[in-house]
Amino acid sequence: MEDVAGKVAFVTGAASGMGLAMARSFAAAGMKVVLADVEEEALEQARASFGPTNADVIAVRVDVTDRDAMAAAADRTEEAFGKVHVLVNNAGVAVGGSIADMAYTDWDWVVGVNLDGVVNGVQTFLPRILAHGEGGHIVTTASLAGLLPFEGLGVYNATKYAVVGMSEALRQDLAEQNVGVSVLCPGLVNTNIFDSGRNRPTELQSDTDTATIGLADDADDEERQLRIEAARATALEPDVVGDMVLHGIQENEAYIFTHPEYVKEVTERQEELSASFGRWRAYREEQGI
Amino acid sequence: MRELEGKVAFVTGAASGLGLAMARSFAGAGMKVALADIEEDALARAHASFEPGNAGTIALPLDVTNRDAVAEAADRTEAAFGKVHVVCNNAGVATGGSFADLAYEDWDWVLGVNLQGVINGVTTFVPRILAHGEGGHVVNTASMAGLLAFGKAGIYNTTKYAVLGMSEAMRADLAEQNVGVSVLCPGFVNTNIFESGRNRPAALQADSDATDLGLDDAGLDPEAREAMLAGMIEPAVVGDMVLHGVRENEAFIFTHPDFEPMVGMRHAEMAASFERWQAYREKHGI
Repeated sequence: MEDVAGKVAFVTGAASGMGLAMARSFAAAGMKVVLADVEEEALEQARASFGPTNADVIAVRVDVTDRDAMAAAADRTEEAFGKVHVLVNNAGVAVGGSIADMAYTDWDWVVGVNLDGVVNGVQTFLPRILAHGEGGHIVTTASLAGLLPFEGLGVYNATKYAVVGMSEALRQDLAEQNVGVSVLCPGLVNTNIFDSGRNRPTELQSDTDTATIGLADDADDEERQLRIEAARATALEPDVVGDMVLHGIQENEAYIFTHPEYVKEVTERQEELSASFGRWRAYREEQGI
Repeated sequence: MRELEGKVAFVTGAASGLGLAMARSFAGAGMKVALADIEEDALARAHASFEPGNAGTIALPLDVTNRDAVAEAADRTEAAFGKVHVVCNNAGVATGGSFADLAYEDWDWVLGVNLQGVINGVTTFVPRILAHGEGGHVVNTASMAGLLAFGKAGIYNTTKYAVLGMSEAMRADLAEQNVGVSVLCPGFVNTNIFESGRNRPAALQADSDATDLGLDDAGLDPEAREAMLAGMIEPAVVGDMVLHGVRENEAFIFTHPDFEPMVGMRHAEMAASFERWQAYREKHGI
């Protein structure tokens, strides 16, 4: 979607971090923006930061796991701006810890927001985008953890791989219908994701040690410390990512890779897959299959 | 896990297809096997197909989306065989169609079985495997659709990519605890997956245009379709490959090595994208 001026974007998780940065980049490009977030106070502050008379930015309090609330938010967006062109499924949370220590509530919370929230966004907005026929774009926030596994991030990995797969399929599915699809795969960005437990619903609290994900600063393991420092050195500010997302929409990039240095790790995984394919090819030959 | 004789396996979706084949391969290697499946008639037939009087297998009717039922099945397996070493989260269903034609019920059904079912299996069995300290192995059934997206297979892709990511991370989590993890990524296998609607709960029926996922939904050109059909293998072959994967602790069980070029093409696209973003960052001085 090259011409974004005057178009309407709906952004979840827009009260802070990457969502707010995207909203700013979109508004600067002349788009109308709906800021959607579960965190009411932060949402109000975010809305106010756009200036008191800015009629092209509205705030809608919404829990992305609530399907009826998503439909109501879409209705409000259409009331305010007529239609929606760009959907950004950005709201996300994280827990950390070994798979062996995960409680069902850990899974339910993270899968609920990071995966079901995206399903709800697509289910709610896609038919509305297709209906007006002006074209559109769907951006979903995954992570490099959608392409690479990380020890202690199994729940997060499951949800982020899931939305990468969904986005790749969605892109093919919508290619002929003038709706572009991008999946945002950032590395470390300076956001509140490490404190996402602040918005965890009471009924999905867990008595495991997995309430929040951190960079394990207290880890005594030397290699781990090195990895943490290396990750920190690559951290980006959200506003940079907001502009990259805008660029990704304009160019209809399938992937938005904010941290290009990770091509190394992604290529290493590909090499592991290839080596494995090779072993299985040998197995089949040996067994005459 | 090299020594499998006498060890205990729990397999979901074991009444037919890949699950039954795994159970046969495991039993053939001297393992005890709990066959779990939602389809009770097929389960009884599957169980009967093992040698009569075979004390090494039990059949457990099970809906993998029911957490209490999975815990109860684990209890029954332990009551019968003492412990569980190998768990195969294999039960899976599929639906196909354009995203715009999908209903919430389509998502709920397929995500429920293919992803929540695996989560329930992992959450239930991993602590029990770790508790007995004899080591073990987890096999999660994904698909080549966990590595390659097909436009009309969006829900299926979503669940299978998820299982890939979960499995790869778990493998790292459990590596030091003597529990191996493999993710099974088959291509076309001669199973009932295309008729999985037969077990769809009434509450999750949809009046959407989604259908049982078929080969026609993959958007393949006729030549690729022929190649796919020609590459079809029988479940028994896959069962033996899973056994081999467990023994060798293979991270991925790739039954169809012919898919390697397609996986390579996806990677090449990503690598090209990384380069464009590198250029973007340089241009913007980031």
